[in-house]
Amino acid sequence: MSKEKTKKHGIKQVIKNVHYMLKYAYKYTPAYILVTFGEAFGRGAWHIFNVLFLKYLFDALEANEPFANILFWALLHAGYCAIFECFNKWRLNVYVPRAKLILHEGIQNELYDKARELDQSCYDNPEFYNDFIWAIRESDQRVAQIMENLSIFINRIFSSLAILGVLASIDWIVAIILLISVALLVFVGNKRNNAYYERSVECNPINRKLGYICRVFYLPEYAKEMRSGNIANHMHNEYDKTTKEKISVVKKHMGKIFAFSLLGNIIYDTFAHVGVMSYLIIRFVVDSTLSLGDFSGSINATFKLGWALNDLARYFNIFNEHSLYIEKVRSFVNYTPTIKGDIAQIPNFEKLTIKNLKFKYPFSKDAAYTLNNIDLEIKKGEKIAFVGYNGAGKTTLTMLLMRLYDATEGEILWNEKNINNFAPESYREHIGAVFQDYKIFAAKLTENVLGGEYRLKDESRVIEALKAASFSDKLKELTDGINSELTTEFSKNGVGLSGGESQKIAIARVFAKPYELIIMDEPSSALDPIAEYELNQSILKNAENKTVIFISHRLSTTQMADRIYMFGEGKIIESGSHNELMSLNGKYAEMYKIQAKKYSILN
Amino acid sequence: MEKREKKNKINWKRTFKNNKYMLDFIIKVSPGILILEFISTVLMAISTFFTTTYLYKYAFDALQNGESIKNIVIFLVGFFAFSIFSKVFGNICDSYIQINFPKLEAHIQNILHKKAATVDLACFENTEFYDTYVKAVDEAGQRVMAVKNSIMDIVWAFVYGASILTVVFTIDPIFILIALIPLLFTVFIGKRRNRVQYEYDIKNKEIARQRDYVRRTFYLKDYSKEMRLTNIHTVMLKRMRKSITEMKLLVKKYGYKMMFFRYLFDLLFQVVVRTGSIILAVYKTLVSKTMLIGGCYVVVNSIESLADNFNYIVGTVLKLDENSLYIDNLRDFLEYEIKIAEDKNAPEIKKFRSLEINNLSFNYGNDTPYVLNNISLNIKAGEKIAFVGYNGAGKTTLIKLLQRLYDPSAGEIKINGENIKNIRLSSYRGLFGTVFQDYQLFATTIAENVTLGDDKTNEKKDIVENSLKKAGIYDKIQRLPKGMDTIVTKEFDENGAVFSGGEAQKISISRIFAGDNEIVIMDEPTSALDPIAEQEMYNNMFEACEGKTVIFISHRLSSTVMADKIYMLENGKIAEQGTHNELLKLNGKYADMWHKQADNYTR
Repeated sequence: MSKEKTKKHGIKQVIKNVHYMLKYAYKYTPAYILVTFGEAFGRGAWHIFNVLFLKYLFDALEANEPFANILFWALLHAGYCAIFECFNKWRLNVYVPRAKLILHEGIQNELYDKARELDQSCYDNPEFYNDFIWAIRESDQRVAQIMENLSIFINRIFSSLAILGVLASIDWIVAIILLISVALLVFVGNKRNNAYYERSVECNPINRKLGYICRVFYLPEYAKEMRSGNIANHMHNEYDKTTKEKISVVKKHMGKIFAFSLLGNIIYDTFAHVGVMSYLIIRFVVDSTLSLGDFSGSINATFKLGWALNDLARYFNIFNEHSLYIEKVRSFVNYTPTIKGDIAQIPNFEKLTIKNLKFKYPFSKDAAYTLNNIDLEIKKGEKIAFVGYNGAGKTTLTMLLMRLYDATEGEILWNEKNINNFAPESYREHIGAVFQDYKIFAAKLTENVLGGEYRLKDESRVIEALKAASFSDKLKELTDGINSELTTEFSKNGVGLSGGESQKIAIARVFAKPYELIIMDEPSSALDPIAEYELNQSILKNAENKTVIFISHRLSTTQMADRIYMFGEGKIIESGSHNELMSLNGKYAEMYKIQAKKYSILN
Repeated sequence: MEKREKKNKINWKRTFKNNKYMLDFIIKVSPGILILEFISTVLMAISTFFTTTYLYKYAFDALQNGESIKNIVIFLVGFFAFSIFSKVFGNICDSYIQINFPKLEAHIQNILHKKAATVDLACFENTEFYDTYVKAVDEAGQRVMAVKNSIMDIVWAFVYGASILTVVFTIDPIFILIALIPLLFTVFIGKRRNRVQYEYDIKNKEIARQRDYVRRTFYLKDYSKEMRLTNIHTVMLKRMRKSITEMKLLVKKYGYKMMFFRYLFDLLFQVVVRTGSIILAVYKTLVSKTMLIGGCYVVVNSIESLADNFNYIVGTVLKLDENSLYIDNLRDFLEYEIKIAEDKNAPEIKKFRSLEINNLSFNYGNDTPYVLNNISLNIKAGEKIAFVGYNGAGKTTLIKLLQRLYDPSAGEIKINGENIKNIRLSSYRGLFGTVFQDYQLFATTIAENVTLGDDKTNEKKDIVENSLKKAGIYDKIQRLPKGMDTIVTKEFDENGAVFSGGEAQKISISRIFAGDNEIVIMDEPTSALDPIAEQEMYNNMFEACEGKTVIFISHRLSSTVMADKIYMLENGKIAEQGTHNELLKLNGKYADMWHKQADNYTR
């Protein structure tokens, strides 16, 4: 996607960016650079040796030199090849794969650390997010590729300069013809690439759509809907329609692409190669001004040079793309998180105060605030419920409490201290959370519960936490107990959990550590009534002295809260205990009565 | 995977048939591609033969025969013209392919999509199906081109190889034998080399998959919150380091082996063939005087191409076999016999009267435990049925069986007294309108999401509007600039609408109101809704479905009160059944569940 926005980088910028990447290589495996350059020059020397050898060979043949002399040079030639290829095969099969891994490990470690520091809001910015994904996903392949390409690039420069010298000493006209044709080729090739590029820009959204339609057919999550209604047919028709669009785009750009490709082919193959060879043949056969050795050497050099220069032109483009990529990595590495703070010592929780808070998502185009004029105070040990309509801002407020986002206006105080002063890492250590869209990690059960590494001394904590989350029954069924591997990502025997069971693991997380503040966002949405009941009992018991904020649509659950905040359109519209709100007879009471009615009538 | 490993011998008949199978697609959709490319390939091969070999032979012959300048110039000009002609033709051919390829791809994808939309749902849960077939299907378009390219490569190698062969043969046949040496290597040792490479690739891929998982947890938004609130990243980093260590060990284990084989080949090719033939040619020219200097020149310059070409043919033929393995997967998929298939001769259902489940048992795979056990129940037209029970009791599975997304392992389902297996599938499934628990929205207009791609969506605007109103989401949609014609998701349209969980659920519910289905199935349709929205949705649903049959699953028992009959499922069995009042009187599991929920409201 980022490639859509491809712009050309100047040579200076390309060099700067490649240099930036090389610094990483130097940092983690300096020998990799040495080996890469060694190969480039070793191969360059081989190319020159080749040209000179063939020139020598036929001069010697013509001059009737003794067989032994030629044999000596032929064996030397072969010997160099044998040694160089031995080095090269070692490099390709043994050295580089290993160096790549070392480099990869170093770079990934740095990038991953950086990724965790990124503001949560970066994920809401599609442009940044796409670049970020690109930067991380290709980091290992790309750096190795840059090294390989660099080796080729240096080799081609070195080889072409040397061969050009040999060629010019035989016949400078040939050298000039080749140089001119390559210059033309670069020019035409550039035009052709631009035409291809324009086409790909237009084709990208079309291809994305085609890809999407294919996915809809193959992804299991869509399979059920694809078997009901007429949606499958609709998608077929869309696919055909989109294909027609694609063909018309291809046709539109075909003329230019055809012309420039043809021109490039004729310049390179016909004009440069066939032309130069015809010229040499005429000099050799008709004029007899060229010795057999010179003829052979220059033909050989023409091939090699044409090939090397053609490669150079190609690699200019490749390095331009690398440069664009490195640019993304740099912008990601240089990103300064906006959510930061200096204080790493967080005082023990006494109370939380929200004053006049307003919030709008950083990349939202919507003019309205998601949260508007929120004021509230939560004291240590209180159980607080957030209730209200879909989309009223309850979840968003919990995000702000965790400093996944910072308030647009107003402040959140932790014991009178603005939380914006706290280092986010340290601050978040005090908060345990069950997210609405919780994730189970492909790791051991213990690690999932602890949210980190497991040590033997943690055993009872994990078991207690799982018990508190009503997971004990399932735990008995697991052969490896708390050491079970979850998901089949890393182990074929990994345990796959149902939605309800996964949710219990997510809940266990908040009981596994002595968090001072616990936030639970619809923690029982996937649980059956019995499990929900047990969970509620368990929260009351296990979080007795803790501060708990929970969001729920099941108002029977919220009754046990010390205070309930009712949200509507980003504001707190009512607050108080269940009884207070019921006597207020407002929105909460209405909502409650609707739920309670059927239970009470028929009980 | 297994198939490939077992396969040591190439089944030529199968390889031929499979490649022909793919080629037939091209012949059917765009035979021009094959004809044009065949001609272009032959022209290209001849042109390459001229520049690399024949030109020199001609030069030496001309020198020897004292050819007139005029003839030489005519020959060279002719060659020049031929070169231009072949480039023009080649580029025309390229353009033609670029324009016609999307059509070809669409044709294949259409066939695949049709199959994917009708294949048994069980296939989607079978990991092997998913891994092999989906991958196969994903790149079908490219693969058809790969088959074409392999065949053209063979054509090229034959034309080019035969031309050089003829020339070298006229000079001295012994050199042909030398050129055959690397081929012997490929034939006899190539297999071992490939196996080492293959083993390495397989093992490496497995580990890379794990490393990629870790990478995803660092860049996907889904994981971002947990990554910031817990220390789970330390576990993930540990796993990355472990996989990199394992990869290093693999390099150590296989690197030197692969280096050995590759180096051996290099030695054969570069030293034995090239240097050997140079020395032999020089010996024949200088010492035994059995060769002319021109012949020596041609041999020295073309022996590598000839040896390369022999090897190339073998490589391409092996590629045909590689294609064949892939096509096996594709054909297995296309030829997969659908178990739950449409039978155009089977009777349709005119009017739904009753559904009857007799002694039904079901498990997802042969060796897996039974999810449903001996279920029997009756549903009459117009009844409102609720399935309740614990997480994992089998409710959702039962619903899938009712819609014939699966067939029972034992027992039967009858409609109007007839086994549903004897009813035309489309007619049977057409009876149901469903809200799935894991409902999906499609990246198309809101209206089309509601009608599920009905062709007459435009004429049904009133119905769509009404349905959205009943689902309680119309207000929100009305406020969008394009109303119900807004595209869902930002995937293809910057102004596309993104919905929250609750809103998306409401849109999926409106499908029920828009569809004219006799039986409505809803699996936890209000899990993401607030209490008011939930109440409205049930009221509207019961009103709109008056006279229709409704089957729903809910954990919120207040909604099940309205059912004519409630089935309480436990461990795949029906534990209790009856109306709400009957079940309360029974005072069993349902009553327990009910009281746990209701007591909170009535306390």
